[in-house]
Amino acid sequence: MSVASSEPTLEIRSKARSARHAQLRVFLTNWQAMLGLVLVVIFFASAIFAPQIAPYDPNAMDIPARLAGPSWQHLAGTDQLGRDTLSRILHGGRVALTIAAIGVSLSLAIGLALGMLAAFGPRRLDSLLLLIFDSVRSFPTIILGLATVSLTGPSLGLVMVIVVITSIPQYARVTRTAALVLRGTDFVLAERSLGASTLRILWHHILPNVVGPLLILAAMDVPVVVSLEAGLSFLGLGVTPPTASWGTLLNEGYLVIRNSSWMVIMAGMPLVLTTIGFTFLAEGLRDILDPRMNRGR
Amino acid sequence: MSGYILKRLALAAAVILTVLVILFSLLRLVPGNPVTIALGPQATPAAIAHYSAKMNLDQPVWVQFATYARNVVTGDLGEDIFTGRKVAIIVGEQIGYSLMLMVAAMGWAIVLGIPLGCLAAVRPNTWLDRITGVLSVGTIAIPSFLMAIWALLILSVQLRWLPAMGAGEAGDYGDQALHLILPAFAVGLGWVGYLARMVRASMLEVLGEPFIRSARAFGLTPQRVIFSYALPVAILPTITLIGMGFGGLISSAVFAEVIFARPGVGKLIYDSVQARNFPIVQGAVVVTTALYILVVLLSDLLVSWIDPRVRRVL
Amino acid sequence: MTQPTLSRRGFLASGTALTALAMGGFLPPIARAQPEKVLRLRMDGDIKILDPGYMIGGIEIEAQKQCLPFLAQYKRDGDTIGWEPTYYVSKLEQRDPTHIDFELVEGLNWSGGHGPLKASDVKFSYERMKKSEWAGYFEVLDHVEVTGERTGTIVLTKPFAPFFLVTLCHGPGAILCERAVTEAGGRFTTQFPAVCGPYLFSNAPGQAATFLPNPDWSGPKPEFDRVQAKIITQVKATELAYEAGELDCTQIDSDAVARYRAGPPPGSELTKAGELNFMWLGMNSEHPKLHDIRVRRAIQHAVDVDSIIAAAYSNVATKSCGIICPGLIGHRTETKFYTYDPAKARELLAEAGVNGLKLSLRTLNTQQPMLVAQIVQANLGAVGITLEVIPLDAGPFWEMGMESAGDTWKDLELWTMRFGSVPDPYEASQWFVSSQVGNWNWERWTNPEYDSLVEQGIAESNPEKRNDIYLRLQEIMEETGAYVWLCHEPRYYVHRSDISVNVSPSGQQDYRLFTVI
Repeated sequence: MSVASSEPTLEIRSKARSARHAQLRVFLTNWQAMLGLVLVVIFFASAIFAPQIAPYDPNAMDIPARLAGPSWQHLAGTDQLGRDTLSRILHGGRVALTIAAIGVSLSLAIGLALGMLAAFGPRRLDSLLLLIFDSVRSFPTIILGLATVSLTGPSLGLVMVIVVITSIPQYARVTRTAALVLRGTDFVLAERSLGASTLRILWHHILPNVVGPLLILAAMDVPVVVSLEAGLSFLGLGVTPPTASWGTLLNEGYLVIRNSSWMVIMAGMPLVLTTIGFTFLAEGLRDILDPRMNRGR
Repeated sequence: MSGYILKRLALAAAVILTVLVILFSLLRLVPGNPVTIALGPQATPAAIAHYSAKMNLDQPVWVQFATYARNVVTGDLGEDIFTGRKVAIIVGEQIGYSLMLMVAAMGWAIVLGIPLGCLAAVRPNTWLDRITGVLSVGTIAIPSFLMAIWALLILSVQLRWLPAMGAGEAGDYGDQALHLILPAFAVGLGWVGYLARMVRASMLEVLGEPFIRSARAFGLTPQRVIFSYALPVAILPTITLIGMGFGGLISSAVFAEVIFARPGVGKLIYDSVQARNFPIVQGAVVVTTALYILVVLLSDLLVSWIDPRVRRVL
Repeated sequence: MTQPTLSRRGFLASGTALTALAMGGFLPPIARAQPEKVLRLRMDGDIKILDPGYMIGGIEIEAQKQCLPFLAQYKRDGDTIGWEPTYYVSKLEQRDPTHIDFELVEGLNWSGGHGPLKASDVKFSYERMKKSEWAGYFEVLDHVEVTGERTGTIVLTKPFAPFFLVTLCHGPGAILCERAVTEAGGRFTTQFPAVCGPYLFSNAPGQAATFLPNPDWSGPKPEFDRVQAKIITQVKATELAYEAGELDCTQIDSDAVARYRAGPPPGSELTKAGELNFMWLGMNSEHPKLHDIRVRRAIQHAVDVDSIIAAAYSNVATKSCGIICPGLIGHRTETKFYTYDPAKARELLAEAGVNGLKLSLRTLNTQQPMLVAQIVQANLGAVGITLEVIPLDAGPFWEMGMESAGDTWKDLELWTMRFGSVPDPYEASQWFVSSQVGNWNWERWTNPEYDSLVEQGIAESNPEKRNDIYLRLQEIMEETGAYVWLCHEPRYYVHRSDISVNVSPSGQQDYRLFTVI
């Protein structure tokens, strides 16, 4: 459906060792990419080590200390049950990480397979898949989620399914575009004339060449997925209590916004930082892997 | 051109059909009698009998689907289980509010984002370009529902500059416009960044093309080159982006309507889901989808009208 | 009277300015055109069915009160609630325990040319209710005898102490126009076939309900020319709307009450309408995991109700010890069979030989119930019970214990529940009799003594004897172990200081009776 595709296309060439060093230098001297890398590392580390870092048990209540603002005891304040908001944010990061890791890798794998199928399969199948990708890709996700939750009830599984379904098309499209370009290149034609099977071509030639762009795309996709989870949880479609997710924290904060504005401020920060981190990192990676996209930037 | 339009229309119909199939099968995949599920817990025996007849459950599944699809196409979206009012009318009452919000949000984003992108492209690597770059990443980084909450907190709860809740007094357009500012701001802000980035990138690409260089060589003024020659070409991917982004816009509108207690289709679906008023949920989803498809279709047609080359691609 | 925030739409300020000028002895010519007095309120949802026989309740009753005749209305006297005749009747008397005589005022007409308000309308309306979904309120009604154009007698089958407060003052007591309703096909939903009251009703779904002056109305004029009720579903959002000056009066939740007590918005006051609701933690006594009364008793001991009130209700709600609300006959002030005692709870569980018990708690997914659920989760965790919280939307929540609505009732273990009530103890007691098992008695216990006490409570008119009946009946409930009483949440309204509000104890605002001070 979309005509002027903005997806990264592929540049195939061999890379000399010196060129690789140059790329690394480009990356290291790019302050945005470095900032992104740092934020992304913090995202992973804080989620993985949340039980060790968190100052309190995220579910421990201290009702007399409820709705407190930031203090030395509670750096991000407390919620309506006197639970430490910082600890809950850190543990909420685990939910975000889980969804991002599983959601992104699942949709990447499925998208990769479907994209190759579209490029190398029959023409009709290609058209059908394209149609499906385009209808799903920017369908009003939240509305689909709301309609589904009314039948199934809220759960993290449901959020995961929505995330995967809406993410698959972009991976599939990038794979398909790249594979189509490669299919017509000399070395693939040569390989084919030597009698190589389609599977062999896919595995040895197409896959290594689409991995780069797909990884960039995955990095770009993480914040989308994390925000989607937060949004669905905000509307009450996701995790159930006492589990904290950034979305439920925001919802709780929204409900007490007149009593204490700290919760929505604090619980919103990780979403913003994660998005900035992954976006900058992805752009930095793209600058290295695909300089053509960097024109003028 | 007409062949192209026909193809696009067929595609749109196919997508709507897909959504209908999904909605239709969702209700039948969940264990239990589809009528009681569709009507929800508040169904009275009379309503169940009425709907069973209407959904003709004794017929083969494909006949049931054909009837359902025919009803939808002819504008019969069923009835509210509580009041018995036509769902089509109920959705119709609410959709205006949502459209108003979406148009306002996208409107201010376009008015601000496109010129910003152009300026940044014309003067690359200046302070203006850098500020635009940082701003666009900044605005894109804040999900629209978070923006809505923060805007509510700062502009309404703390500063009390703007009204927070509802859509304003009926008939009082000034009041309604005032109530539109916050949600439109929250929904549109991310788009300012998107559009600026998109326009900047494609503008840079276009400015490097030979026909621009020749235009410059012919001594046309820079303004003329940019607005008459470069922009119409550079804008194409942006129009497609707006069309494709309409789905996301609807999602943002749902959040804005819930957060600002504003009437609209999103709020309608949200409330109906909580009350398990399935006929309304179903009807509103169908209408929203149709609307979404229509916008995508229009944007595609617009692009092909501006740039005839596109028609050959499909 | 110089609060600029009050007069955002200008009615109050200009109103009083006029009075001041009039008292000063001169009235400028322009002032003859009285400014329209508008009252801006909040409704918590769309009006779905105005028909008293088939309404959902709540806001519909509020609309009925403005547009339809009633024989009696609530009268507040200190903390007790009584009744008085409305301005629709010139006489309303209980002749004997089963006969109520009434005489309608002369000269009141139905809108749309449907003729005068007649005694036959009362007969039509009330006898119709017996066959409706609200028939419970008219079970004791035998018939209405029409003795004249405007006079009649309501005949009951047996003495029914709560008839005035529960039936006549409340929504089901609304009187409809026989002619108009029959012409409309016998039922109606979002529009009244005919009204006989100071206001006409019009509705913009999802946005507002508007009450405009009824040109056919010849009764007492209300203070406000127009009432604009905005639909705001979330109670939190109403605070913001009120503080932004968009509402003149609105209900607020306990968090806001606590905050406004410390410092109300300028020019505002709080009014308490009543605390006619009761919230409890229920247990399915038939469920295999909860069949042992020692397990249920352990849960009663394990829940820290004071913390729940502090955290979820900002210490505004009254701790509950039963189903009869504060201010009513039979209100209970302490529990007999349990107190908060986790050690005792652990002991009882050990005695029952229960180890590693896993239970589920179903709750409404809104703010307060979710907070309550999480505290209960922590409390039970402390005595070794793992609790899974299952949040539900309103739709499935309200039917989960009903046998008519699927099989969820079999899996029901624990839940939190909140019932609204009316100013008579009978109303709350009726839901827990044996015949309600599988309907509203989700705890699924039966007790013949309880059933007979409920009957006695209806017929008894001596307040002291009634008191004893209702105390005993709640004792039986508590003894089943299936209840942890939580709280009665008061219903508070914040409003401009210069408006005197009128809210029925069960929370319906009566706009006709709002006045400007």
